[in-house]
Amino acid sequence: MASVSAVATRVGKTLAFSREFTDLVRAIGECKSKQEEDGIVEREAANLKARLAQPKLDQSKIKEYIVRLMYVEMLGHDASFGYVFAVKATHENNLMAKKVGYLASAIFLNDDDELIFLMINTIQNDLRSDNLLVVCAALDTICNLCSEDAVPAILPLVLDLLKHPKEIVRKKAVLALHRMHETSPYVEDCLDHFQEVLCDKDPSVMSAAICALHSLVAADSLAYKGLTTSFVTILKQVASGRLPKTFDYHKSPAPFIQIRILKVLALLGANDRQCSSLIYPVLADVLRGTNGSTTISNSILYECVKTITCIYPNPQLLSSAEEVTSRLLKSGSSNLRYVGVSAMICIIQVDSAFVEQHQMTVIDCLEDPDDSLRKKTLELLEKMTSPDNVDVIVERMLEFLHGITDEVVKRDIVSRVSALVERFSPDDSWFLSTMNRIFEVGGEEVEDVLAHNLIHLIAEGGGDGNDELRKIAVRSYVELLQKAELPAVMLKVISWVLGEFAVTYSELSHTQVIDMLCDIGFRKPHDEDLLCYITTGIMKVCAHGGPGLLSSQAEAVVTKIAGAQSTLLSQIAHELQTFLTFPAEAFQAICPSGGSSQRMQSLEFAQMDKFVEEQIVMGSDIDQVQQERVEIKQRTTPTSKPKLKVEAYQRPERIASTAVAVNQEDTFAMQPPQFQEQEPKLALNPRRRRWGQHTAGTYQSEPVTQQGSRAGREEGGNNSVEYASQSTVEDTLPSQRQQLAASLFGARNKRNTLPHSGVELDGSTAGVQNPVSAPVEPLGNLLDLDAPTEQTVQNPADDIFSQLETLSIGDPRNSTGSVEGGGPPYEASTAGGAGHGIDLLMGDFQADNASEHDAPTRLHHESSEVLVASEGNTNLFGSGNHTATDLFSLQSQSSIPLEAQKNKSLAPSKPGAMRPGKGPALAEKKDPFQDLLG
Amino acid sequence: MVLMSRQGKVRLAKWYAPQLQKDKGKISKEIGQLVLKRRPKLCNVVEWRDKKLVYRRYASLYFIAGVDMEDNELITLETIHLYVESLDSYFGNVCELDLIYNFQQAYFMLDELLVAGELQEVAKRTVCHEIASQDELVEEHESGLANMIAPILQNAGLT
Repeated sequence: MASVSAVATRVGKTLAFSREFTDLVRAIGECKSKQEEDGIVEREAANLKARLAQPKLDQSKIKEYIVRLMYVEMLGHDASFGYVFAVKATHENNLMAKKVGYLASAIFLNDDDELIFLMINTIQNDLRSDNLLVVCAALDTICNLCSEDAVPAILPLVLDLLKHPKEIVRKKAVLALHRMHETSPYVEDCLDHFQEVLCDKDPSVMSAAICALHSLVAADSLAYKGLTTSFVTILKQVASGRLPKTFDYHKSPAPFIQIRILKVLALLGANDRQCSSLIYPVLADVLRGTNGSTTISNSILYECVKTITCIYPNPQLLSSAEEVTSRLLKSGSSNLRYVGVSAMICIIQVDSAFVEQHQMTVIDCLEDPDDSLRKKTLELLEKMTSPDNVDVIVERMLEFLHGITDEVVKRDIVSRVSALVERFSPDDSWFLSTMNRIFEVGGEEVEDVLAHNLIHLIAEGGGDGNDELRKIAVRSYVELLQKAELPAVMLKVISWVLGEFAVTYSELSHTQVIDMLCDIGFRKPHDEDLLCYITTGIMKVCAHGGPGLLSSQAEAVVTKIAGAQSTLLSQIAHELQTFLTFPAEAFQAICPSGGSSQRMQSLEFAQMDKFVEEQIVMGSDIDQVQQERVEIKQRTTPTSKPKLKVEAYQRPERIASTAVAVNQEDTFAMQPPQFQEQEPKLALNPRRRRWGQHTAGTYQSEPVTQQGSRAGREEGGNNSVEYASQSTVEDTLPSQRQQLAASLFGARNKRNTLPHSGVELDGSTAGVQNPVSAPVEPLGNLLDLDAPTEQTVQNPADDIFSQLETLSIGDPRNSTGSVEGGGPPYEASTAGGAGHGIDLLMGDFQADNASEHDAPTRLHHESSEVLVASEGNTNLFGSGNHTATDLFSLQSQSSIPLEAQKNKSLAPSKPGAMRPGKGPALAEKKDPFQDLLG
Repeated sequence: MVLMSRQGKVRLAKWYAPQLQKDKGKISKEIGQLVLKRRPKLCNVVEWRDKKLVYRRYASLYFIAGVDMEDNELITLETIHLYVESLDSYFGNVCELDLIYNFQQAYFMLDELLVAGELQEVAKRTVCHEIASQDELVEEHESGLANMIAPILQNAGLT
C-alpha cells in the first residue's frame, strides 16, 4: 500500500484534489467487504449532499465535488441530488470545470432527462465559442446526450461547424449530426452533408462520415447504391496504405476504417448482383493485402468473409473466404477459433458443402471446455440441421443444456432445440420422447406453447390415426411420475394426458388414475394452474367412469382444493363435487360408452347431443390449456394489474361451468326458457361491435371476449361439433410442425382464410349467391395453396356456416360488410389495450377460431359464442357462485346478436348436409399434407 | 463499457445505451460474475442476454465491452487495446491506480476515442494530442497549476 499513497499524493496534487478525495479513494480501496464499502460511500454521499447544499459554495471546490459524485454513482449509489450541480458546472467559464460538468452530465443523465433543457443554452453558447476545446466539449456532449427537443435549437450551429477550419471540430460535428439524425426525425436531409464530408481531405473526418453513412445504409440500402463506387475507391486507397502513418495500427493500414467500409459494402451488395460486381475486385485486394498474422489483420479477414457471404456470391471469393475460415479454425487461439466458427456459420448459408471438410474441427470445438465456443458451434449445427441428422444434433444440444445454469441462455437453447425438433422430427414417438426430455432438462424455462403443441399432438393421436402414440404417452408419463423432481409445465402435460387417456390406454383403474393425479397435486401444492389441470383431470376421469370412484384420500384433496383461495380453483372443485353427486343414470346418459372423444365419433347422429356434451367436457380442457397460455401472456403484459390475474383465472372456470351447465341443462331439460330469455335481444346486433371498440384500452374486454369465444366454440359447434372440432385438430397439426420456425399465427391465419373464399365462390348451398367479392387472398403460403381448395368444396361445415350467414342476416352485403368493419377495430382495440402479449394472443385466438371457420363466419361465431357464455353465467347465478366479473361480462354480453340461436335451431334440420360429407372430406384433406410431408 | 478490477470492483463505467440506475448496478454485477470466473486461455467472448461481451484483461484490470451480436469481436478487442495503448501513452506506463485517481481523465480519453458507442478517433496520437492540448489550456487558465501538470505533459510528449 506504500505505492498506493505515493501515487495518490502525486496524482492528488497534480489535479488539485483535496486530501479528502484521496482518503476516500484509499478507504474504498482498502475495504474488505461490500458492506464496508457501502458504508463509506453512503457517508460520502451524505457528506457531499451537505456540502453542495451550502449556500456559499466554493467555486474551486465544485469540480472536485462533482468528480466525487461520479465516483459515488459509479459504485452504484444514488447521487441524483447532485445532478443539477453537474449541469450548473457546465455554465462555468473555467474550462476544466466545464468539461467535468459536461462529462458528469453525460454520465448522470439519460437522453430524456429534464435537466438537459438547462444545458441547451450553454451548449449553444459553447458551440459559438472561439475556443476549440469548448466547442469540442459541447459537440461531445451532443453526441452523448441528445434529446429530441434540443435538436432544432442546436442543428444550425452544428451545420455551420461542418465547415470549421479545424478537422477535429469537423469530425465531431459530423458525429453530432449523425447522433441528432438518429434521435430526431427533424434532421432529414443530412445525406448531402455526409456525402460532402466523405470527400473531406482529413481521413478522420472521412471516417466519421463513413460511420454516419453506415447507419443510413443499414436503414435503407437501396437509396445509397450510388455511393458504392465511392466506398470502393476509399477502401482501395486505404488498403493500399495511402493514409498517413498515424492511422496505422499494428502495421495494418487504418483497419478500423477498412472494417467499417466492409460492413457498409456488405449491406450495399446484399442480393444485388450488379452492385456486388463492383465490390469483388476490392475485396480480393483486401484479402491479398492482409496476412493474418496479427489479431487486427484477422479481424479484417473475418470481416471480409462476412462481406463475401453477404453480397451476391462469387465463387472465387467464396473459395478464398473458405480458405481464410479454415485457417482461423485451425489456429491455436480460442478467439480465432471462435471467430472461425462464426465465419463458418456465415459461409454455410451460402455453401452448405463447406462444413463437410471441417467435420472433425467442428467436433473438436463441440468438446472444447469453453462454453462460448461450444454455444457458437451449436449454432452452427443448428444451421446445418436436416431431417437426417436431427436426432444427433438434438442429442448434442440437450447435453449442452444439462450443463447450463444461466436462465437466459437456457431459455434460448430450449427454444432452439424445440424449434428443431418440431421442424425436423422424423416421427411422432420420437417427437414425444424428445419433447419430454426437453421439458425435463429445460425445467421452468420451457414456454407453455410447447406444452400446448405437445398436448395437441397427443390429442390427435399421431398422424396415422392409431392410438399407439397415446399409449406411449400414457406409459411414459406414468413412468416419469416415479421421478422426484419434475417442472410444473411437465406436470401439467402429465395431468392432462392422464386425465384424458390414462383410463382408456392403460390397465390403470379410474381410482388409481385419480390417486395419481392427486399425488401430482402434492408435489406443488401452491401452483394454482397445475391444480386446475388436476381437478379438471379428475373430473374427466369421473365423467368416463361414473360416480363413486374417488378414494377417501382423493376426496380429501378435492375438498381441500374447494376451499382454496383462488376462486377459479375452488369453483372447479365445487363443480366437480356437484358433478359427483349426480345419479349414475345421469352419467350413463352423458357418457354412454365411457370412451374417449375419438370413440364417440362412431355413434349415430341421433346420439349427437350426448356426444356434444361429452365433447364439451373434453374440449373445455383443451381450451383450458390454451387459456393457461393466454393467462401467462397476460400476466407478463405490462398493462396487467394485480386484479387481472383473478379475472384471467376465471375464464376457464366459466367454461368449465358452461360445460357442466350444459350437461345439467340437457339432462334436466332446462334449455328452452333460457333461449327465450335471450330472444328479444337479437335486434341489438351492432352494439356488440361498439362494445368492442369502446373497451379499447381497457383490459377486461379481452378476457371476456376470449372466454366467450372459447365457450362458444363448443356450443357453436353444436351443429357440427363432431366434424369441426375433429377437423381442427387434424387440420392444424401437420402445418404446425412445418411452419413452426416462422411465426405460427400469421401463417395459420392466412391458411384459414382460404376456405372462406372458396365457399363464396362456391356460392353456398342455400342457394343465395353472395354478391360480395371474395376477400383478397393473402400473399401466398405456397405450401397450403392446394390443400384448402379441395377442402372447401367438400367441407360441409363451411356450407352450413355460409347458409347461416345468409339466414341470420338478411342482406349478405351488410353481413360481410359488418364483418369487415367489425374485424379490424376489434383487433386494433385489443392490440392497443393490452400491448404485445395480447397481440400475440389475438393472433392465436384468431388462428384457433379461424381454423374451424373462415373469416366471415367468425362474427356469427363470436356472437354465438357469447350467447353460450351468458348461458353459462345464468347458470352461475343459479349456483350463487358468480363474481363481479361474471356480472360484468353478463352485462356486456347482454347486447349480443344472437344468430347463435338460429344456429342452434338450424342444426337438427341440416344433419344430412353435414354428416355424409364428413368421411371423404377428412380423407381428402389429409392427403396434400402427407404429400408435402413425405 | 466497463472497466473492472479483478476483485469485481468497477473502476470506470460508461453506458452507451440509457439504463436505470438500479439496472446499472445489477448489470455490472452480472457481467462481473460472468467474466471474472472465466479462466485464462478461453476465448474473450461471452454471450450475455442479447449482447456479446468482449473482454480483455490487462494486469489486474478487466476491460469489458458489450457489443451487438453481429459485431466483429476481434475489432472490439482491438478497440479495447487501442484505448489501453492511449491510456498508456498518456499516463506513461499506466496502472490501475492511475485510473482510480484520474478517472475523469480516463473518461475524457474514452470520449475522444468512442462516441455513442462508435469508434470515432482511429489515430491514437490524435487522442493524446487532444488531451494534452486540453491540459495545456487548463494550464493557461489556471496558471497556478502549470507546474503540477508539467510531468504529465512530459509523459504525453514522450510517446
